[in-house]
Amino acid sequence: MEPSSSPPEPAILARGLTRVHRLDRRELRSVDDVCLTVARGEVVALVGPSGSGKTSLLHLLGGLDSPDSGSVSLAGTDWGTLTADARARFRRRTCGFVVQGDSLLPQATAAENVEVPLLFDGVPAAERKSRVLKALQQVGLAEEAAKLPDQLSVGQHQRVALARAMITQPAVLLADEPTGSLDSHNAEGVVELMVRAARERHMAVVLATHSPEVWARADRILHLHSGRLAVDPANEVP
Amino acid sequence: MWRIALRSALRAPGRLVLTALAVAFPVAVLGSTLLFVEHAVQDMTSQSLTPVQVDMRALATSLDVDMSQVRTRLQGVPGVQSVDLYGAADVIVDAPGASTRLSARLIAVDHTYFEHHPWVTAHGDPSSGALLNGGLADAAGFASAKSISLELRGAQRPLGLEIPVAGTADVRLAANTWFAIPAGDVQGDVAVTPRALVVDYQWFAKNLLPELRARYGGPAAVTNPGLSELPPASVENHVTIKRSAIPADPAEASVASSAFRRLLERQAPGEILVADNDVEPLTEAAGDATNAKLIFFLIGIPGALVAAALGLAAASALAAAQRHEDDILRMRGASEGQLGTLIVLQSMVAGLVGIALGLTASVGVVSVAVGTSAWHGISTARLLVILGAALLLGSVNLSARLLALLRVGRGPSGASRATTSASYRPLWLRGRLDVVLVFLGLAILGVNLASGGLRLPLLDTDHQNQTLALAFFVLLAPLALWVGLVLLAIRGWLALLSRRSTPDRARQLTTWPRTAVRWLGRRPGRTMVTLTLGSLAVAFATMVMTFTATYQSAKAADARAAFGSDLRLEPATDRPTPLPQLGPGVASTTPVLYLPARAGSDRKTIAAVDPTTYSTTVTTQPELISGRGAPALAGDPKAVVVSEEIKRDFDLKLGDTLPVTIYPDDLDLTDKLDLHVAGVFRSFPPDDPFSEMVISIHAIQPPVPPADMFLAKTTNDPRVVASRLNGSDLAQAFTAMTLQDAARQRQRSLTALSLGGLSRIEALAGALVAAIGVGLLGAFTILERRREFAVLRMLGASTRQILRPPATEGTLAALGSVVTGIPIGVGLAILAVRVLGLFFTLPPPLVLVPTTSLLVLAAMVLAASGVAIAAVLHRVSRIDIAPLLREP
Repeated sequence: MEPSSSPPEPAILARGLTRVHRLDRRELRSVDDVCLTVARGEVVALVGPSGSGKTSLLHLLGGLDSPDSGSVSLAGTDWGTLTADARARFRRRTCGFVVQGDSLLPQATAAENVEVPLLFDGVPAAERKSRVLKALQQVGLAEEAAKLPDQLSVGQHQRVALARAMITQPAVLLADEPTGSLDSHNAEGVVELMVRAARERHMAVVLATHSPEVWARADRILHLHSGRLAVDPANEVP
Repeated sequence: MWRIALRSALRAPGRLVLTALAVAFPVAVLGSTLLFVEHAVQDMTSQSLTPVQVDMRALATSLDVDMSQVRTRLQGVPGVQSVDLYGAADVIVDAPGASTRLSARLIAVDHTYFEHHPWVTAHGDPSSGALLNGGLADAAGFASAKSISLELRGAQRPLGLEIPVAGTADVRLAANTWFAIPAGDVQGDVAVTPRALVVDYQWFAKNLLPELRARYGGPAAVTNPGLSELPPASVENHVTIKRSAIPADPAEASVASSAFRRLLERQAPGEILVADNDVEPLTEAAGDATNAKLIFFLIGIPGALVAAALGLAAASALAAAQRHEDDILRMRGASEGQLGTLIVLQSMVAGLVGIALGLTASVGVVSVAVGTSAWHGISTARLLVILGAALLLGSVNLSARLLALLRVGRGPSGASRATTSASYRPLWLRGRLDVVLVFLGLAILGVNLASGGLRLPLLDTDHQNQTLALAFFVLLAPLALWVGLVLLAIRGWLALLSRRSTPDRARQLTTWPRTAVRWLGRRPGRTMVTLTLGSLAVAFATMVMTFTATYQSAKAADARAAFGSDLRLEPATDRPTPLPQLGPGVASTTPVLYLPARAGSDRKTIAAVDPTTYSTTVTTQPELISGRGAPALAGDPKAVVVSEEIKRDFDLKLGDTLPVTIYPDDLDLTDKLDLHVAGVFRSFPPDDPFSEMVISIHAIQPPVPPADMFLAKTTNDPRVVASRLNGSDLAQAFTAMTLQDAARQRQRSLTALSLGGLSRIEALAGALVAAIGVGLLGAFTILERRREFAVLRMLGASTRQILRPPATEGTLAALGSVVTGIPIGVGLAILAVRVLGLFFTLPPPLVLVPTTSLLVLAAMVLAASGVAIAAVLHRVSRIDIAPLLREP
């Protein structure tokens, strides 16, 4: 299950993913028959207009939502075979998530926000302490560890969220508009952190973004329109 | 607009119901309290009039007045049930064979009198002759007399009036009417004459009344305001009023009684004076009713207040949901004015439903508690007042909710921000309202204590003392301390949580449950509001239950002291015999005599006891203020133990000599005693009937009159012994009574009050408030922290880990309410109980903690809160996280 223990296996493998939302009597396919493979250490940019289904696809990939049809496997494990609590356990070890907007727990300090996934996972206190410190140092916020979210800037929020997403060294990092509310300097820093993690830790990174600067750093760009991916040979299921 | 308001209200039925319940709950608590009070007070009128034998005595101002004619006029007055002729005179009686002539009181009644006044037991027909009471029938020479002769006391010439003896009459129960001084300053004082005879009024009018007119002539003695004896002769009409014509409220009944008296007097102006026997007990009952209302308000008002506060807290939760709907309507083009109107109309719909629900609930609850329909016996005007009060509370609650909604409509609510933000500093905390209220409560107590406690020397009657004490001492100080102490405790909780939750680099997370507590300390607002409401409710319910338990205990102790021992043996007839051996089950007996006496110009009753058997027979020993009790009587036959009232009125000290005359109205038995004051008592069982002085039976010159009753101590269940005695031959001479039998008889209206029903209602309301508060906390949690739960799920929290923080907060709020509320409630009950000293003869205990009841209360609060928490956790566990993570 450790990311580094199964290198030949794709980090993400999605087959025929479909998600249908029902509004009144109409059906809206937010994700429509999507097939996708992402290798370890690969950075993929998911682009498309607003409402094209980027967030829905990320939620399906991260097991936050269940598809109406199709399946998603992360590091060889199919989300559909897991119970709710097993999913939670699997997610905190395998999949880091950065959602759109502010996602920090408002009552927790920056360090506590980062520490929470480790606490859930039963990591010993001493190890938690060192890993949290290291994670915050990596995002340049070691000095802000004891600050509450309302004492941090928007950019700092995003960096804490990123540190939290990567603290368990997951095989997959999913980020929804991670630079959406950041200035270019902060955006560049955040993207750099993710790319470096992908390279150094063989982490698969999928970014939903509108930003051309982010596209430029990705290994591959996937276009999503009305829930469907544009044809990309790399997505062919082996 | 009404249709839109109705439709939008019905489209969100959950919100409509919640709003309606927020209004209904305080309305129900207030409504049920007021209805219960009215019921309790209504009973006081009939209870206070139960011992009254004759409602009105129309006294002829002259013996020349034809009372038969007056009776015809009085019978025509609406509200009069019956009018009976009555005459009385002091006579000298002689019998053929009697060694000496005896003084006696002659009573003349018409043939309907015994039907209307069944408290006289007659054996024989007065139209056939005279009926003799035991005192006369047992006198030497009278027992076998076929006829007796009558003379007038001090008459110049003999009457030579003879009348056959037709039987006997037991007139002991008639003392309060036939031997009560009918008018003047000492109206109602009883002047017991041991010998009496009853004759037919027509015979009296024909044979004796002309002589009495000739003897006494002119104005009757009843017109003398300084009258201090039974008039030597009087003719009267005894008027019974229909109970249905007397208002149920004692205060109204008292006023109506005085008006009725004047109405009767106007039927025969100048010919009669009407003595009103109802007005005094009614006035006392009116005072008791005032005190009862204050006690009930002490119990009920905090309940209504805390229920109203809960309603406002619920309104705050609804306001957030309302804002979302307003935003949508704004986007669709609704103006601020239209939105405001819509909110007002929606609130009115919900408010009307809530008020109707609250009133229905209060009627239902009170009907169950009193065992009859809640409105039974309550005047329409009173019902309208209750309805108005409930409507007012509902409207105030609704208005407060409206203000919150309209304020939210203009932007984020200040209250909402304050309770959700990390820096929770509500107005009461910043203004130190807790400290101010505690200080205020203590200051009131201090002033009360400094000015003489509950018996202020500036006031001259107990009644005023009680009203003053209840109004200021019982009501205001505990109310201030109730709120103040709870807020002070919340301040303490906040400080404790704050110390454990300050952000600190060095302080790492330890465990997830402790993390939940740490984070609670950083945003305590909602939990603290819940804890405040819960603590107020639990403290209030605890106070009510503890107060009620202490009240019941004091009442039981008072009843035991009033009764005196396990059993009472009262002579079954007015011709007493010595007490025979009572057989197994009876450990000891002691006689008690009640002697009419005069001390100075005052008529008093003296109890004479046998000091050698008294102490071993009574079950409650005397409560002495100073000096000694029964041992002093045993050591000195001339010793007297006096009541506090006698000590004060006669300015007595221990060792003073108090001259009294016993049997002052009986020429044969009268005796003067110089008694030595040996002690002052607050209670000297048996306290009922009350006697102002207690002496030794050995102080009376032989032959000692027969005992009025015997007290008996039993070795097993008194009820079993009483049943055995009443089924034996003894029953012909004595009637055995238990404490339970006596309790069913006369007791003062205020101490007869049953607080049990209201106590149960208010305790249930308190538990409900605490539980609903926890439920509200849960509602806020779901409403405000859904995204947080989604983030935790995203970070890999299991369901159990997600549920931990809301479960911790709910549990802390519920447990905190119990831990905070119960000690404060018991403390407040100690204060409230102090006032009970005014109502009971024996001082009440400091406090009686009803452990089982309080455990039940705590269990109710925790169980109901547990249900609320479980419902909240169920909702949280079903939250769909994906849509929530899309929200900005």
